[in-house]
Amino acid sequence: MTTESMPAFIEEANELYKTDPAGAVALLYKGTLELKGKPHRNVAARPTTDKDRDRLILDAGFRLMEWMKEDAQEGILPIPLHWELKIGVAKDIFRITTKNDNRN
Amino acid sequence: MTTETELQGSYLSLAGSRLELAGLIYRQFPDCTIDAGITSVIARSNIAMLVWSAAIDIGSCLMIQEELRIPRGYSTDITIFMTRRVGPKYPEIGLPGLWDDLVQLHNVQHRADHQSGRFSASCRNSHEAFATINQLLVPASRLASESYEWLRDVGNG
Repeated sequence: MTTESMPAFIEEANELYKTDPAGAVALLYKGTLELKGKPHRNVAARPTTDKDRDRLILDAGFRLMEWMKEDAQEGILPIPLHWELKIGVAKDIFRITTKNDNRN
Repeated sequence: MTTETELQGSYLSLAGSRLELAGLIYRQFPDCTIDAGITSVIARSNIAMLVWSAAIDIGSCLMIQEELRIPRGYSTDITIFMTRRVGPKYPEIGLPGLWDDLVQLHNVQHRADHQSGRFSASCRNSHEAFATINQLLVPASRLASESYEWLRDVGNG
């Protein structure tokens, strides 16, 4: 996955991850949610396809997976949250809200 | 400007990464298939979520290949698209149990506290689904089979 056009929020989250992993994941989630917009039952109300936007969302998801692999290697599991349904399971990301607690 | 090939590449990278993480979680918590403890439930839920999301990613790749609009919204949307839009061209998608197996695993994601036997079976069946869908993609746009081969052995000790 390319990093040459990494958007500001992914770059910022990447930097924040070194000192505040939970904050970084929250930032990544917020940025992704803003890109995605709200899911709509009404097909006509859904955002149209935007390849640039979609790629940013995928890049954010990829970044999160890389962090989570580091966690999994340490035996830390993310806590699945029901709110992932609210933004759609497709390409969802989920935050590790208790990550810092787990490390203590 | 992102090209369709680049977008497909991003979907595949993410799918591969999700499957790699799911496999890693399984290797870290191999007892999750038989254990009823909370950690095992969370591990099952994570694996199910990651594999289902990877299925959506690879399904999205197939839709890009077929120049179809990728549905937005809920997970049922992708199922409808895969069976009704992609299915007519690729009878493999409509084979009994193929996409359904992934949906079964997706259901485990939401009710990971249910009997764990269904989780193992759903994972093993999902291996076939990934292998089949992967074959429908052009060779340059396929997942490395290593990323999903571990699914075949889930629950087999």
